[in-house]
Amino acid sequence: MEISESQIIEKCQKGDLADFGLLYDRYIKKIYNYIYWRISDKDTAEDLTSQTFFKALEKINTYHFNKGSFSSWLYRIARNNVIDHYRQQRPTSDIERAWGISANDNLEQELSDRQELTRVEQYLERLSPEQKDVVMMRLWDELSYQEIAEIMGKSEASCKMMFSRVAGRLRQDLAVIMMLALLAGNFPN
Amino acid sequence: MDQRIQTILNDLYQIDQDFKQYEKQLVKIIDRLIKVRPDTEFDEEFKNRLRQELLAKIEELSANKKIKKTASWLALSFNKLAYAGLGAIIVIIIALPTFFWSQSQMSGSNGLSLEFDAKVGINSLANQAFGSLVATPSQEILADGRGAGDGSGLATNYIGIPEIVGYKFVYTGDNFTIDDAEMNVFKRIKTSANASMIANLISRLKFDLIDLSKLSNPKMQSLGLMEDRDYGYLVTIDFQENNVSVSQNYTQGETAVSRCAAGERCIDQPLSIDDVSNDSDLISQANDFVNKYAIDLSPYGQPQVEDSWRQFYETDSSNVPDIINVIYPLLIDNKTVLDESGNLFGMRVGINIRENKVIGLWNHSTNNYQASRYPVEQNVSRLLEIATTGNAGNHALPGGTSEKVLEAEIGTPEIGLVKIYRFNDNTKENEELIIPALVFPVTKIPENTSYFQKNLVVPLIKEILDRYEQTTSSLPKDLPQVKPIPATPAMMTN
Repeated sequence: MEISESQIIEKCQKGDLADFGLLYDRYIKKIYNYIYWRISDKDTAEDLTSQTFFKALEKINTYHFNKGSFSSWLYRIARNNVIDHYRQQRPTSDIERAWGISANDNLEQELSDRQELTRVEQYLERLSPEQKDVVMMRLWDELSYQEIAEIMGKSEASCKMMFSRVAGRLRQDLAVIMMLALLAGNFPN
Repeated sequence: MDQRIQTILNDLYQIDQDFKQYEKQLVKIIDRLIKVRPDTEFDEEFKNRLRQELLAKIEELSANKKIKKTASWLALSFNKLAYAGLGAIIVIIIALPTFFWSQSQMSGSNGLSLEFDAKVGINSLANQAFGSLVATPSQEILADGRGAGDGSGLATNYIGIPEIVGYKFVYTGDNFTIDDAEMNVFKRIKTSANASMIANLISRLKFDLIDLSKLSNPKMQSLGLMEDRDYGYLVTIDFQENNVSVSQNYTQGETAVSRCAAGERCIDQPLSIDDVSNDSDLISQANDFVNKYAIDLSPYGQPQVEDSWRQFYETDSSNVPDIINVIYPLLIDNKTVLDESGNLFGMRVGINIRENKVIGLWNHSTNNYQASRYPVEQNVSRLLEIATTGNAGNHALPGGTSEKVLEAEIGTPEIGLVKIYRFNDNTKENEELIIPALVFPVTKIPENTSYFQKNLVVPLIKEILDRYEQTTSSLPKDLPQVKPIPATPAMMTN
């Protein structure tokens, strides 16, 4: 018999944690990916993913249905872990890098077009950390505006506004777009 | 255009219609932004490892919660007993029944009870959630069931090097198909919550011999209770394996040996077929026993008398065993579970024919499972090839070996479940898996064979079949010639 996510959460909140594994199966890869894309290190991403799920398990009683989806709650724990990681490991200014695209050697080697990645990175570096976060959540994590808003603790409208600002810069930076398109090899004349 | 890109464009158009004039360029840039998304190196091994760690944490949290609930009233009971000056042993004798009584009283009101339930519970997980079912190449996970000597207790007893015999199976059944591309694999979940809870209670008792409170993270391994009467039973609750067994308390009451001394039939006098009750009487005897001790029969199908001993009896009429088992076959998902040799798997009740008495009950376990779907082999030709060459149960001889090969016949298979074990490198434990399999009835056993399995089991999980083929292809092609040594039938526990 299928059991809904809210039923699982209710059971867990009543102390019956047996079905927590179902939540784990549903979100493990998404949360890991979310963290990896902001850390770009497999071991660290695994550590932070573990911390995220252990926190979720221990604090599931603090989740309230009326304050957003469980998914957003889980992403928020992951996001906080990533921010804490940067605070502990690097100077404050580097926290911003959590929301950029890392260009470490491992990542570059795994991408077929290093130049293109560099260009994309350079372009995204011109955005604010929050704008980059919105872009990544929308394009890479494939989250809805509502989810992004719940994770960031902002309104849906302000997240849309942030995206619109990025879009505005896309228009202004058409030269960059052209360059990227040329790199892709099929920009129309 | 990719639906995802279209959605993102629509978002932009909602904000500013002017974006439409740049649509082609925007499509390209969004597409590139999506495509540079790096591969995250997601690791199934990590997923399984973290799952195990979370499971352990869940058990710990569950145990702690129960301990907190029981701590107050237990502390009161124990203190009173201690102050009364009674010895530690008496404390145990009184505290444990009190604990269990209290648990049963409380279970009706707030659900506080030991989680030792035989009822089948299944939680469905995502596909292939258990990771690889063949974690290490050395694992013996394929269905096994040699013609003789397969650990059944009824096999041939070899002296020295056994004769090397291979088996081939001739398929005489109908055409069949495998309709599903994926089927459920079940993994048994054991809890250590009870072990922690009981151990924490016990460690609060004061012993002069040792201070149990000094133990770090104590866990109760097993608990034994004895009926203090003639012909009573010993009940063992295994908290690690999550099962219960009952055996005869031989220390009290007359035994066959003492009766023999008193002039009754001695234990070395062979039984005849007339001493064996008919199946329905044996089943009634077993049922009376399980009813008396309120054994939960809900996870099991109709009981059956295990009659493989009759194969030996047909070749030698003195082969009547002292003990005959009634088996209550485990049902999961309405399917009967078999062991790797094709025998019914489930709870066993042993009946001593000589004494006309139930001697015990084994393999009565908790039945909590996780279910996850795995790809199955739908290629019937491949399945029949594996079955008929004798490869499914390591029946075949390695290529080039010129020892004896015997032929058996198998009929149309049914889809059933078979219990296998997978060694978990992280926990260093054998995990119990129930996998789908084709169950071919053996319709004709090889000539001059005293004992042979009733079913041939061929796993349906692709990964297991693939691993099997890798394993068999790595066997040596030429084995040294071994001179057969005459075999002697085993004694039937007489």
